[in-house]
Amino acid sequence: MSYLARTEMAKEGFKDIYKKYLAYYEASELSCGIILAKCKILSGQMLETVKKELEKKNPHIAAQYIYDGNKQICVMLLDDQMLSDTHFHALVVKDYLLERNLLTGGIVVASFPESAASAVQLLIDMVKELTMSREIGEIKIYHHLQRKGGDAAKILVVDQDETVHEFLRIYLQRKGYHVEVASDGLAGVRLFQETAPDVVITELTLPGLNGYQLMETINHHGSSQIIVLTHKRLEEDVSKSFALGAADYITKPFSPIELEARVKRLISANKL
Amino acid sequence: MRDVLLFYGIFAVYYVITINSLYFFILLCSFTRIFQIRAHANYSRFPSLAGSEHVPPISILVPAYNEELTIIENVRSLLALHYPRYEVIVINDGSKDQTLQVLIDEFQLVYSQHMTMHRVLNTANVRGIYHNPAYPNLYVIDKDNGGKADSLNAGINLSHYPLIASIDADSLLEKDALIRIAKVYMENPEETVAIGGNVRIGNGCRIEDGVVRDVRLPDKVLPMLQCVEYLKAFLGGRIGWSAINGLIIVSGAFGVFRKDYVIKVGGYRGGYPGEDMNIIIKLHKYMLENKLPYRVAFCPDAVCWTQAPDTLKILGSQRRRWGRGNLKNMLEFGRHMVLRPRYKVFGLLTLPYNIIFETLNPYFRITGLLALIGYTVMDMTNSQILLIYGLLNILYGVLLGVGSLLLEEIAFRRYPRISDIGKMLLYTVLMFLGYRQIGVVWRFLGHIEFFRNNNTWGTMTRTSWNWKTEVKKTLSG
Repeated sequence: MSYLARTEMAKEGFKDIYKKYLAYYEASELSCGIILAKCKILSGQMLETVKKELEKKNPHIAAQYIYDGNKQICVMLLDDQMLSDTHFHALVVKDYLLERNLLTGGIVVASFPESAASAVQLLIDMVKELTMSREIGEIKIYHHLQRKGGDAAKILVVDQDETVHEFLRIYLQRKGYHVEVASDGLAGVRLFQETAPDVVITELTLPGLNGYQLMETINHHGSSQIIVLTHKRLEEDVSKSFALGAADYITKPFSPIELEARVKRLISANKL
Repeated sequence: MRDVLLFYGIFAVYYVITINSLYFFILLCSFTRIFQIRAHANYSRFPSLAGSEHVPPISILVPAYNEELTIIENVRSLLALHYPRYEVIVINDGSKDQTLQVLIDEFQLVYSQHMTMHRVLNTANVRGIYHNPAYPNLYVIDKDNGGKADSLNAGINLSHYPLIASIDADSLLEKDALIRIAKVYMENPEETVAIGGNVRIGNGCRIEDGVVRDVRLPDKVLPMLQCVEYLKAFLGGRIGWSAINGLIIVSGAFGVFRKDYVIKVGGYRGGYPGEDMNIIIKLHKYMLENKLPYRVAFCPDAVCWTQAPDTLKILGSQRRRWGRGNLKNMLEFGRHMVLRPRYKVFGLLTLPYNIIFETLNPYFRITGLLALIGYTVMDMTNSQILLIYGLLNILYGVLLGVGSLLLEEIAFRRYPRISDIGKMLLYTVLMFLGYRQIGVVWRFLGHIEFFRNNNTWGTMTRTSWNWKTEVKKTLSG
């Protein structure tokens, strides 16, 4: 391989990665494991070395190694691997990269189509996830909202404000969650019992049962994570909410991005 | 004799012109103020305020007498207000029905032995206080019957916060009503002694779980007339009066007061109706006599939905009661304060207006009309004068009504449909074909009752807010 070709290879962008490899997997409906690692700048030569050394360690895995120079991310595509095997391979990769002092951040692991239906979206989300991780060598399993069996994580929103309903329903559904809404405490309890949601997002001031009573009921009858989303800012309300087992306390006006990030974190923590 | 009658008739015509012109002036004051109010509301961030530490805590007092049908829904809606720190104190005024029991059952309240009540105001015997830690901000006082004023005083004795809000048990507050009123208070907490809320007619609205879900105009004639009447009184009248600090009444259905001054003026006066006007007069008097800077404010965007009587019998008893209350207040305070410069706007404008155009209104109108009719019967040469009298009444009245509607459309638009505007305009005109006249008669009858020492509260029957849903249930079920 000429020097030129090698440098080129070390600079392939994500678009190319998708066009070259993932599109093929998507079309042929084959599965592949994906590992993204934040690395120091790799020359094409280095990348070759990495590839060889790793193949020695795990001979039965056929993989592509691509390096994106702009984002400084090393992408590994593992042929025909499920998430569990990919995860295992990521451990090997991590040790190797740490030894060589090449790792500058975290590692994100996923598998297509197990983790997500769309390969492009998966890649984009993984890159996002990678940029959020701070610790060197931290391995994150990309949390697909699709569970095995294909049903999305369920969220119950309890709030008497119709605009909040409407907004959260649309926003969270677009993010791939299954959303139920209730406008008062009693309806909230009823829906909670019917749907057994993973996360309950509740306001504290509700007609019927108030938020505290709702939380008590939920704690008695299930194991949903509770996020309080309220306009109340009094310290007593915050402390009381946490005492009743709220996992998070967000005040209105709120950022939907932050809310969704917190929901995601809760759901993934719950699964592990 | 004819000349006397004619002279008196012409006098009555001028009377009508004057009253309406004064009202027109107040309406103009309302117009100047409404834009300010609207701007304030637009630039206020109520959602953030509603959770803030810096909002003063409020005690909501809910006197309840025979309210078993509506009380649960109302208390539930009060417990779900957008407000950081407040308490709801329901005062069961010796109800003859199951009001207390219904509350106890619904909220699992227990009789509490050690609740302290400061007896700063004298009230009828308090039998007990009920509370449930699961609802930390709900208290129920059970006492012997003593009337509405007495119940409010008992509530003041128990209340823990510096502001009190008096609310009728048959009214529903919008969930941001309290925070809006509190904002008006916070603009000038030192001088604001009382703030009135805007009362609207809830008949016809779809109400679920104590929340107004769908604002509709009433479909019956009487509530519809009252709806237009309230719009005129509150938007056209009270905004203007508050702009010149001459507001004489904060509706008993929804108002907020500074507790310290209410106690200083001796609390609410029992024994007579009109305790809501009475407390405001006393506050004006106290502040002016002590030369303290003060204001009685009105907050038109803090809305309270109330049930209007929908039969002539109940409406008549309500209006007669208002007449008695007004007369009593004018005899007790108005007489001594009217036209005295020390009472400033209140003594020089509000009280004369009230005495001449509210209290004495029936006498002028009835006698004026009789004189004109008598004159017309005796001598047909000047019969157009009767026509002038009638037309003036109607045209000027309609003008003022339309002005109030305009205010509503500019600032609030609670009734969004175009057909609603047409309907309101229609009823603004219809008001003058019988409704206004019968109102004058009711007030007169109220005065007669007063002088015959009949000072009962009168009847007020309730229908459950949810009657429509009840009906639907029975139909579908």
